[in-house]
Amino acid sequence: MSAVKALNPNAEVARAAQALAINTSAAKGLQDVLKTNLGPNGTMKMLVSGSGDIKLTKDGNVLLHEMQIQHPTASLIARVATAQDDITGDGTTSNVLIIGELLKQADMYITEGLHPRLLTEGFDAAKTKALEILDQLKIKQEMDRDVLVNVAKTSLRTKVHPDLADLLTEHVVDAVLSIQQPKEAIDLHMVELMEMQHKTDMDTSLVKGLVLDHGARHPDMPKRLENAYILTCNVSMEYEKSEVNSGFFYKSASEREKLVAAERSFTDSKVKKIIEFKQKVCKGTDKNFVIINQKGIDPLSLDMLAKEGIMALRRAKRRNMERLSLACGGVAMNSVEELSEDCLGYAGLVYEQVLGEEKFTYVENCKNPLSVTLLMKGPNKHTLTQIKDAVHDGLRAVKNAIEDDAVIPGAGAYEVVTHAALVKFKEQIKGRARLGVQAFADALLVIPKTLAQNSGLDVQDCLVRLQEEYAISGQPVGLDIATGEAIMPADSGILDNYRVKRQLIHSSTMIASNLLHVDEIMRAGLSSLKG
Amino acid sequence: MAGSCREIVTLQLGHYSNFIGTHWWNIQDSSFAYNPNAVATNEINHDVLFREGCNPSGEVTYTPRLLLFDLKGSLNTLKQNGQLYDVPDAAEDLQWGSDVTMHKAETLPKNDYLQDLEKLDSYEVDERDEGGDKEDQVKEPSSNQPPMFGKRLHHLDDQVRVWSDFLRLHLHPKTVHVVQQYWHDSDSEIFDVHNLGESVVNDHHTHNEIEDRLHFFLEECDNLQGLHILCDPGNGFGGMAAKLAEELSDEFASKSIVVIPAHEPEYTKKPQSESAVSLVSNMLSYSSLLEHASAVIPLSVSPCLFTPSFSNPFPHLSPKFNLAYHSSAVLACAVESLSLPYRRLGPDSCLMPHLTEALTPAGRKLLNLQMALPFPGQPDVLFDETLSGLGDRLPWRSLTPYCHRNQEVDGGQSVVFQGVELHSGTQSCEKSLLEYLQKINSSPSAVTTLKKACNVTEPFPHFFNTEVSSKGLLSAVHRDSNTGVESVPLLTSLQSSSGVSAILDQMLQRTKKVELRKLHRCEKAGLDEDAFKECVVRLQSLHEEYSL
Ligand SMILES: Nc1ncnc2c1ncn2[C@@H]1O[C@H](COP(=O)(O)OP(=O)(O)OP(=O)(O)O)[C@@H](O)[C@H]1O
Ligand SMILES: [Mg+2]
Repeated sequence: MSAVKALNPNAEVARAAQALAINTSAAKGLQDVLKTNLGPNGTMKMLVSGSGDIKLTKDGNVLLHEMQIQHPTASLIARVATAQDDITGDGTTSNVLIIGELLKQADMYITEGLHPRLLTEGFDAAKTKALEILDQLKIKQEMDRDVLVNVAKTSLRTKVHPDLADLLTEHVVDAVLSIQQPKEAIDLHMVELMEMQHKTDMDTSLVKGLVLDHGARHPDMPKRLENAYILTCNVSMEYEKSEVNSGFFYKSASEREKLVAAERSFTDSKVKKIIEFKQKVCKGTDKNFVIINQKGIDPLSLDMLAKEGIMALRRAKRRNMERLSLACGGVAMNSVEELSEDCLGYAGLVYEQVLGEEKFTYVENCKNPLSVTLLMKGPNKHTLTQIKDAVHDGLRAVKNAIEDDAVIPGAGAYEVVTHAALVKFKEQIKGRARLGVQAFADALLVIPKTLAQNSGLDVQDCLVRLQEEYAISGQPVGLDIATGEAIMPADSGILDNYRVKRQLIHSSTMIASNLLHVDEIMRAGLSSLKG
Repeated sequence: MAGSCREIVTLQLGHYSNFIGTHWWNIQDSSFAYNPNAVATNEINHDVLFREGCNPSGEVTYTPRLLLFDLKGSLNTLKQNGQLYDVPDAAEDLQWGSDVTMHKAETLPKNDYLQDLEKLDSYEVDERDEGGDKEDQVKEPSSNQPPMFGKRLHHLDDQVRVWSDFLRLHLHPKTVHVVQQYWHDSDSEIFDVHNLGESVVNDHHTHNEIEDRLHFFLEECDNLQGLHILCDPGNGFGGMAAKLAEELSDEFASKSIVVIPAHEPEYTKKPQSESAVSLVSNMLSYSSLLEHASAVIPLSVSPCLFTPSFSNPFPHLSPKFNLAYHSSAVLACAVESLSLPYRRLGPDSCLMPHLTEALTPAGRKLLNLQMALPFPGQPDVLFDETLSGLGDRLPWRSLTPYCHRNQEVDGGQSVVFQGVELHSGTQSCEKSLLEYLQKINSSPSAVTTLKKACNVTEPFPHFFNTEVSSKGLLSAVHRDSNTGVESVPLLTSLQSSSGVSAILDQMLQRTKKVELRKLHRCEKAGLDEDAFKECVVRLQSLHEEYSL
């Protein structure tokens, strides 16, 4: 290798150019697939598999997961972009577009003979500057409900029909606000997302409490109770096998039955203790009693409970036990020995709904629920999945905004402002590295350009208009995708997450720079990634 | 509220396990008697493994209590959510303000067999639509079948690529879980290391999804007796199985968990690093499964692991063991048979925990399996005579690697025989069998016998030699090659024997040559050397327990 270098000082650049051509075309392939997705006017994609399975999405992250990406470079980019989603919950599409654009710009300069190392130097300088601008553009105001509604709406409208988006928006914001606890990190797992296959998708709702996808398993149990104590527990109320070897080889069937009967009394005594407890706390009041048990309850035990008018659910999911305590209060009991009133939770209403073979139990009207359920309804599985994905993104966006305590004007404003700043900043950079800054600045413009293109607007017109408007007003202006005019995104409520943009700048620069350092080492790295 | 149904939920993890499972469910499905008069003669309580449900059109459904896992791209023509619960005429009313593009993969062609099944399905629907007076007719599948489905034999050997290519029943929409992170048959995203499976289960989103599906099948059980876990132990699925077994054993401490690690026979020699990764994964899976399961029954048609082996141990079959379709069929018969003691109807049935406890004294959870496929019965020869004719040549072959058929049974065995009605005898089959077993071996034996032989109708492979009659007996008159075998008498023995530890010994011997540091697939998957050392130590001590 060094021999080649000695002969031809340009060899390294030549090789880099070749490798880069491969990289850019791989990146371009991805970009072409995702480009049409960007923004509220992006194209919805309906993927139908060979066996007829349907997936409906315009989310970059979902699409990348659906594609079987063979090309190692493309798969590297895809991984960075999906990592972006893991970390921030958004911005996958933009990430792929910017990486693609950075490489395209780089390709141009390198074919003209610019050394990749100079380019990446420029990228690095530009990145630092871009992050500075990002901080300056922060809209720092109190993250009140109105701001959060705009954040959620901006996110949701890029995923589902505006009518549905607006309905989901309120629920998403209220869900996060309910579970938020002072001085604690927001744990989105305390928002349960429950799917219900049902004819119309407009009546997705927020339940301030919990919805469980199972019900009481006894025909005589009440289907609806008001003013109810909730006992959450993890106590087996079913026949347990004995510890002694039950005589598989020698004992007869009737002897085995006797063993079962002996063990039965152990289970019965536990159920009786609960019944006694129920009588003690409910007697002389109009309170009712509901048991939600993580362990099993067998038919005989259910029978005993039903006779007492108790509603009992068995095998509650582990993850719902914590949520139940947060929604209703009370603590989950691990034994029936120390039952006391203060371990009980409370719900104003508990009732059951049957849909086909599925049952749902609503635990509602809780006093101060720190865990809530978003009940999503849709006519079929793929619509439900689409809604669920959108809700996920919406929840993340709201959480991000609260935790960032800031938002960024969207609709291309950040990119236009940063482009202008970088073009100016370039002058301070000595030598050819400044071309890297220029490349970086130009690459960012892919966002407003694509937003315009996806809205059927004239790309050049729109861009020029935005840049002029910004030059005159000095205000961060964005694209009105309905008209192509410049608007103030902050006023129109088009707000993006700060951390999403931040991560975007970081990771796209990082990966583009890595791909530029293409040499044998790099290729070796890729093939080991390939496994 | 009949407490008589003792439900079992089954998990299948991995492509090969799904092959076995598919044959197994097919065998069961083919034995359903729809004739109401036949209820009295039913010997198997199908409600143990199947559930009754109701689809959105209000029709009653009957599907396996099953959760299966496979990778993206492994389903071929099968819809992930099946068709049983499709909402009728739910016209796609897609709402989106801007463009919608459709990206439709080419519709995959179904093989002849599946096409015929489909025709049969729609035939049944027509039948129902035609209305009232047919109701009273006895619903017997054979009289209900359109003629084209009657005698024609399908030759699926060249057509089966994945297990759904020969799946004859409908699955519940919650049954098929596709692991989103990996592609089937891909060379860029390989799911080869145990730890990759653990990470899949630990992924928050996946974990919730699995919990939801498991919950769906488990919560409805009134008297759950336990779980079956079929898994491919030598790759990521082993890690998933181990992780799930761990969680389930915690949640269902009093239930029995029977794990069946299934090893596809190796046909070509794998590159060294690949087999080392598989060895390591197997060891991790076994060490964890042995900790959390009630019993572990390794199955394979091959006598050994990690090296190619071509021998066919069964005298009356000519299977192509290079086809998963064939080898898995043999193992499916074994699974069907070994599970019968706790699935049969009537007072003689036992509970799964009783069986596993009895066969795993002192925590020796590894069991081995022997099977005679078919049991060598002949027309007009009494059952007792057939047995005594065997002398001390046992009729079965081992399906557990490194075990042989004369394995000394020191901890008891559960023997199952299907096909009593084909055999007459001077005394009951059960008694004859017990006497015969006693002669060979003094360890305790429990015998379960069923009248009906094991169904091996299509899409079970046609691999029986022509001396096997369509009823499964060995006959001097050879069967016409256009006639398939419908059922065969089947004998299995699930055994507790010290010799079974040979499988652990083999693994431990082989790891001596493995340098974990050089296996960067393992390292990348998050396996560190200490964790593996611990696993080796655990297996060593398990192995030592057998040599005491
Ligand atoms: N009403 C709007 N008008 C103009 N631009 C908008 C509007 N709403 C959102 N945007 C812009 O659309 C972009 C986000 O689009 P989109 O959500 O489709 O892609 P993404 O966030 O990059 O990727 P992902 O597919 O992961 O969500 C942001 O640049 C945002 O500012
Ligand atoms: Mg987005």
